[in-house]
Amino acid sequence: MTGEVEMKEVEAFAENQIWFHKHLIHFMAAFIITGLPQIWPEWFGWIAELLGYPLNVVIPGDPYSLGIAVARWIHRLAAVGLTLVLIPFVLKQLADIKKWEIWPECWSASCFNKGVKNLIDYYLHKKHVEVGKYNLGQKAWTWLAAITLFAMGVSGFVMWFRGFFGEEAWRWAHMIHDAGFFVFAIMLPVHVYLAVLIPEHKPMVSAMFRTGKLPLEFVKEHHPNWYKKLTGEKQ
Amino acid sequence: MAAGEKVITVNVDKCIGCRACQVACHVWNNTPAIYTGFSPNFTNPEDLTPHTWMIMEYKEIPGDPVAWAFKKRQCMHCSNAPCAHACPVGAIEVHPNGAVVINDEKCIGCRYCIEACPYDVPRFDPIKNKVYKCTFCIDRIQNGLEPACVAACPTGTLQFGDYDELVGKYKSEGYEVYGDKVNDYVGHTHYVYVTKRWKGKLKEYFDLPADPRRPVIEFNKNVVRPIGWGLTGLTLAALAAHFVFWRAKRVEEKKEKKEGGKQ
Repeated sequence: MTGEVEMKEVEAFAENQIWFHKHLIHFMAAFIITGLPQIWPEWFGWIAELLGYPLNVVIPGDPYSLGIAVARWIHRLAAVGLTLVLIPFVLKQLADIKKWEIWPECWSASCFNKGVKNLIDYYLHKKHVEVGKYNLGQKAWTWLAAITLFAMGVSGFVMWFRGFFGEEAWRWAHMIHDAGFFVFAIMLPVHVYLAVLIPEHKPMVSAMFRTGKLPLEFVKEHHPNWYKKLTGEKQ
Repeated sequence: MAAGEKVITVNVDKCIGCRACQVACHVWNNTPAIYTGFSPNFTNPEDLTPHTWMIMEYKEIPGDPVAWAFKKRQCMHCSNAPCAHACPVGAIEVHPNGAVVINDEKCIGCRYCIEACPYDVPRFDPIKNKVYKCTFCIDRIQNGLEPACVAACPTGTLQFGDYDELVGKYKSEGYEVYGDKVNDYVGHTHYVYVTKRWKGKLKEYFDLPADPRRPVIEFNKNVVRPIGWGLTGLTLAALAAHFVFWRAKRVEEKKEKKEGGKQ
């Protein structure tokens, strides 16, 4: 946005957010590919075999076990990678905490009900709704994703460095890690579906993967309260 | 029990705590002896290790005079072995004869079996990155021999044979028996403890849990995972339905726009 030039585009995502999101996708893909054969070997054991058999040419042992062992190492390396990209992202986000749009607008039950009604109206009745940059579902999604990611990190740390923790801690960590997997198994398809398979949301995808910017008309149509806030600031 | 199931019975009334079984276990399995320290209760080593798959535990039973309880401790070889269910690479096999055996070539040292075992038996070797425990001497059994500990027992405390026959014999003789019916988590065990001398006190004196289980593991297996998979499936189905619905709405809107334009 420029002050005197007429606003045609709005910055939806900063460079730092685009960078983090891109790497998050890489690491999530690694987590999913290497985690599935561990949590559901009956269906995804072939991933372990795919990893194990080629390596078995040079590393002796049972190919399936080798595949799972390699999957576990890739899983851990992905966790290290994600931690490394999380550090600058979190620091930048914390510096910009006042600009966050994911805080609840209000705390009353009626406000919550209104948020739910907006979700139903938009996603089930395809109606125009008065929401800000993020609706109730998107805000809840973001908070839940952050909390789950944190829980996955802590439980994964306990499982990796289990020698430093008691056996009961292993069991809890294992269960929390499994539960976290299911939270993401539910949340990620919803996220990807709403972003990629709803044609109306295409500008949002372009903003996240390319320019970071959204056409002002799109903001006006899909995020009227945010539009008002933006234009109000300028007026 | 299923045909072919074997059992090792431990008649604690006859045990003299000589540790011949412990030595035989080391010798047959070629596991090294380890340095041990002073143990105030004579149990030595004080706990199972990756190279000590069974130990004799010594416990004083209060009374006048004080009595000694000698407990042979090792893997219980559960029929519904939780360790085998927990293993992500299928390295733990429950043989038809009841032996629960870790295939160390397959073991990746994840220690999920240790998490699951309610008897606190498998031990992790950090140097080899593998987990070890008693094998029920599967190699001897499959070659028609008794397990090494049974063969070494000088008092007849340990007996090896067909499950129903041997356990049935002790039951008919009025012994208290631990292991033939434990719970849904472990099933029944292929090490069975019997006593007449301490009837009614077997579990208490020999630290044999009445209901061995790992509640967190069970909660994960019976609640978290089924609900997790169920909700994941429902979500995917709901998204597919929403996709069809949204597409239909779009087609409808386009049609309305077209008709509106014509008018």
